[in-house]
Amino acid sequence: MEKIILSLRNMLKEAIKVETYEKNLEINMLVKSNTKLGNDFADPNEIKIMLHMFGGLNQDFPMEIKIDEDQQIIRLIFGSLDNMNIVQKALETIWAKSVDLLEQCIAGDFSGIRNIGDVDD
Amino acid sequence: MTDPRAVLNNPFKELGEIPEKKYRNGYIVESIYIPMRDGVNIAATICLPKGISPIEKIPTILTQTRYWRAKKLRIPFRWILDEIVTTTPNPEIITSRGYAFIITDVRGTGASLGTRNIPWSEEEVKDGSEIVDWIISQPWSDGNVVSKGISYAGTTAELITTINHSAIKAIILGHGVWDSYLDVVFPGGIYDNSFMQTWSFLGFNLDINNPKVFRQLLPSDWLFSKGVKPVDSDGNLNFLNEAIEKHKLNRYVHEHAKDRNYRDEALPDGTQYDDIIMNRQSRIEESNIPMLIWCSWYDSGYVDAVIHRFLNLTNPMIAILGDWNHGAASPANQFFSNRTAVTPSPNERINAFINFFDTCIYDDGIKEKVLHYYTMAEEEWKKTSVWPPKGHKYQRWYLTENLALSKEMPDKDIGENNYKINFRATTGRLNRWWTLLGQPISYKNRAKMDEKLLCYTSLPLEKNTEITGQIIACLYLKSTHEDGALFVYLEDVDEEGNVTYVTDGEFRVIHRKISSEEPPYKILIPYHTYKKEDSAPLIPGEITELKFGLHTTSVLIRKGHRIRIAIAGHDKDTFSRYPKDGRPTITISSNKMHASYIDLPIIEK
Repeated sequence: MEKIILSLRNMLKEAIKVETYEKNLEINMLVKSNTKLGNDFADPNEIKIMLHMFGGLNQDFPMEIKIDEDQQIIRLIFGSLDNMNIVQKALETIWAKSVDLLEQCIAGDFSGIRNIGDVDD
Repeated sequence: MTDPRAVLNNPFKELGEIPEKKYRNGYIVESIYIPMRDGVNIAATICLPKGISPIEKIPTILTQTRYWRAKKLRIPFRWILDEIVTTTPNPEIITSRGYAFIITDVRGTGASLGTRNIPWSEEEVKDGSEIVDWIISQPWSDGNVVSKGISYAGTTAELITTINHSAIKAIILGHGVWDSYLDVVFPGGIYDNSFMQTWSFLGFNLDINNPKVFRQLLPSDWLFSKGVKPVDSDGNLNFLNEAIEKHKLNRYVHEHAKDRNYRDEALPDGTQYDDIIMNRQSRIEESNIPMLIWCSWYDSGYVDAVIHRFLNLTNPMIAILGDWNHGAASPANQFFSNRTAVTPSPNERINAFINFFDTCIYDDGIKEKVLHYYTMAEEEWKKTSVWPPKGHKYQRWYLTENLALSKEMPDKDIGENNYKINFRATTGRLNRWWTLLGQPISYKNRAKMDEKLLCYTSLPLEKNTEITGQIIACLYLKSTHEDGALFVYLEDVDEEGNVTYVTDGEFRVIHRKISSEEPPYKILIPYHTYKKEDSAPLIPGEITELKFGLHTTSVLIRKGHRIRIAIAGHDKDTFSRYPKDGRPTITISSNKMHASYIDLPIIEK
């Protein structure tokens, strides 16, 4: 596990491309994976959980989530620019934070996990 | 082996150098169901070297677990890693060495269908046989199967020998139980309430795929994964949901053991504790399959399990006893608590283990039995073909009325020490029993806790003294109560008064009868049956003999250090309380008539 973590940051950064379309109030995440994940790719609730656990957003943050399993694209559509900007900011550090949290946890520091709050899996 | 200097006779190095990788492109992974004789589908995850040609044939390493064969990772991790990336043993190494790797959820667990009443049931063992049949029918299989695992999966690896299948060439058992009553459920007849309760709770939640509870128990697992991985064809989760419904009928050890006491009480399926492994001994031996077994001095009663296999099984065997926690994820040598990693690393270990498999598949295998053991504080690996090792001799030390340990037998007619049991005494939650959940081990400096115990301490030793083997305690004792437990700790006291835990033994007084019957397997300590018919309450106020063994160890007590025997009546964070109510006072005799003592297994050089 420790060995994986060393390369995880870069792997995430390289695999996930975030594109913002301010005009449409939309953020797209394009995921490149070694194999096509099909219906294992993601569901909207998982996206919300990810943004909550690693991005610090509430799980009921207002946005519409559309998943394209074939293209492995996640579309986040917002009702306001402010909301879009909040998520955009969270996405700037989310991959590094997810690995940091995992790393802390493996080292026996569970304070990060305690701060996550309730997660509705 | 956590001291990098201790390379001499290092058993992992003796298993050979790591050869060139046979495959370098990673592996492909798929999860499927393998149907069993009764229609139960067993979930299996299969890893093959990427790029293997259709005509190539390779051997298989099989692991059967009850702790999820593969995990459905959370996103974003699932987008870049496969479901088996954190699995031990590492599939990348296995496949690069030219093996297929198959890991299954045993029936009643994970994504497998079926239910379970007890661990390692006969049905579960039969599944192993059918999985081996399935493996050797695959186009990529060369007909050779070896099996490996740690803890639960280690025992499934051992029990696969009982099916006597010609395809099985060797097994590796890490940290596995032998005598399930004594090694884990009722050490010394005392119920290990904390572990059994937690393990059963953990098992239940794994089986109903409820990872929420792991936020507290296994936080990094919770952060990384969101449950068991369904098989690839189960996109709508119908099979997984059906499996979870079936698993709700499972039974767990704590629910039937918590109010029990005796070895001969029936398990839910009508079998007994002895049936789980010990009574399968002849079938294990008939296979004559070579075994590599490994464990740690500090791991529960599983350390004795290694010694008992070495003493009792006729199979060719390499046995290894080191100084790490359960599963060897972290170092546990209490003399060097600042160490941070186990050497060799998990990857080095798995490579050494594959060398063992290579030998058994491609060469002549192993023919004899050898035991490698690490002497703590001396920090050296040793090797023996007999147990106890050559030079072993018992040295008697008496408990004296002035709380000393002395080689001189008491010569006075009177002499005794009273101790009112302190039910707040504890070894904490990082002890040899809690490590069964994968916890690190730390007894810390025992000096403070010893103030709550009855302690007997020797004078400083005049020379380095190696203690290797099983210590025997013989206490002449009376109590104010009919029931009770004794915990006897062997400790090293250095020149500054720091107290280091070495080993311990625990014993419930109602089981004190020493049986003249033949034990079910060879042991090196007094034989107690732990059966109901042989149990008896103490008669309050009457002196009785209690003679029992401590867990096997190997340690060097240095010149100038002192040996301490510390006696408690409870270990509150681990074991059930005996008696349930009341606070007994015990009196340990130290006089001519009743001279309490310990026999230390000394290695004379």
